[in-house]
Amino acid sequence: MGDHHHHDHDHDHAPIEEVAAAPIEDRILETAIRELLIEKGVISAEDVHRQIDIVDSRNPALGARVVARAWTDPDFKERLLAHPLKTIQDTFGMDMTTPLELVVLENTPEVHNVVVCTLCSCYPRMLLGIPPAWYKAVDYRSRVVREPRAVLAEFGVTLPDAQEVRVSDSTADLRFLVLPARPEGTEGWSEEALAAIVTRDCMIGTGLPDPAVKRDEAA
Amino acid sequence: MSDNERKVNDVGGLPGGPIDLHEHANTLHEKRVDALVMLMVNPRIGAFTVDSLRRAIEENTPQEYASLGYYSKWLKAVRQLLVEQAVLTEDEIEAKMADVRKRMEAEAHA
Amino acid sequence: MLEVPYRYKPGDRVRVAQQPAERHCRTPSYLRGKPGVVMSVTGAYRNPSLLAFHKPGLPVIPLYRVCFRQDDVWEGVSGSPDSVAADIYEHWLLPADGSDTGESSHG
Repeated sequence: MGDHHHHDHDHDHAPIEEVAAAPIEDRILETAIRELLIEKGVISAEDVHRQIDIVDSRNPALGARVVARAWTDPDFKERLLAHPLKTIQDTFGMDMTTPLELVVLENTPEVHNVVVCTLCSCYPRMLLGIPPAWYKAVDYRSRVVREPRAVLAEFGVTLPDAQEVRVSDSTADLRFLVLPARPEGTEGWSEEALAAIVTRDCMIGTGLPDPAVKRDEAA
Repeated sequence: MSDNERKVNDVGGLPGGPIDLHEHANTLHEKRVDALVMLMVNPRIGAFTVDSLRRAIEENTPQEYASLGYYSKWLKAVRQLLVEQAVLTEDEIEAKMADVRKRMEAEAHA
Repeated sequence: MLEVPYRYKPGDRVRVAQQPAERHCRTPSYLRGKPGVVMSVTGAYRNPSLLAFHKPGLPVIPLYRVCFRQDDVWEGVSGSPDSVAADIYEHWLLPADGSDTGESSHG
């Protein structure tokens, strides 16, 4: 799922681009370790392919389906908040076996949730896949716990003073998914249309679902 | 608390610059490093734990932590931990790297 | 959730210990010594500071989700409506009334 164009923000998210190729020494080291592990029977070449496929299958589109279902099915939402991984596995058929716990943080008029891992890069990978580069970088990790509103402003998100911004630091065995509030103006939308406005950043808490995005695309 | 108790990875609350919002699709190399880590920490294989991966990354010097890329740090940690756990030896890794380097150079000139 | 003794319950006022960090530590330095409120008891997990050195990490340690007011965490911040929530293992928590200095070696 690509990033949506946020036309009413004072900046645009940069386009997806290729980074410089990995250092040649890293490519040599990775190849050497992988081949040694295969030669010794620790892993197979298929293990590596299968693992890459699994990670590719976990991406924000899956999280968006979960959010859209929660917006349209109150019973699902209740089960999701109570037993997130089991409910997602039972409903969407993905294997969610992990020693970690997933916690779904529901945004309300009183509280807006944002997720970070100040110590490393913990992220709800079982649902969203590999975190974006900025999530893993020191600037986001250092600043968002101290000046969350200034950081959110850089993402184009401004919240009312009366709404508490609660930053969840993933320090241990829990992973967090933000359940954004369903925006006004989406009454009667299909689940598919709703999922299309749930970006990755909405589920980290650094974005808000924007119904105008969908209307633009339909126009 | 004194600064010397703060490990290189423990950055919460430190001053920082603007968030770099550039997006990039993960390269095959990055996906392979990611897959190696996920397989090694999978209990089915259990070569090392996620916690030991973090610890190995935290053992980087401040200069290394700041200058090495995310996946370079992961790969360096994988190498260290596989040797710690006697899954591989440094000699084996060096010998195989020499092999791979020759192969890559030959391919580059082919 | 594992049946282990849990020292704290939701709503309890706690303080993060100001104690030497383990060689691998999941309590961030910016929260050490800060007061907070237990939001939830999240289970009991293997000790990450032992797992990090190829040990089994047993016995498991209770883990709590603790909420901290921005006002209580950062010098120079007052009247902020905002907060930080973090997951803190029991051996890093003390009752907020200060009856325990945290110098003991429990956990």
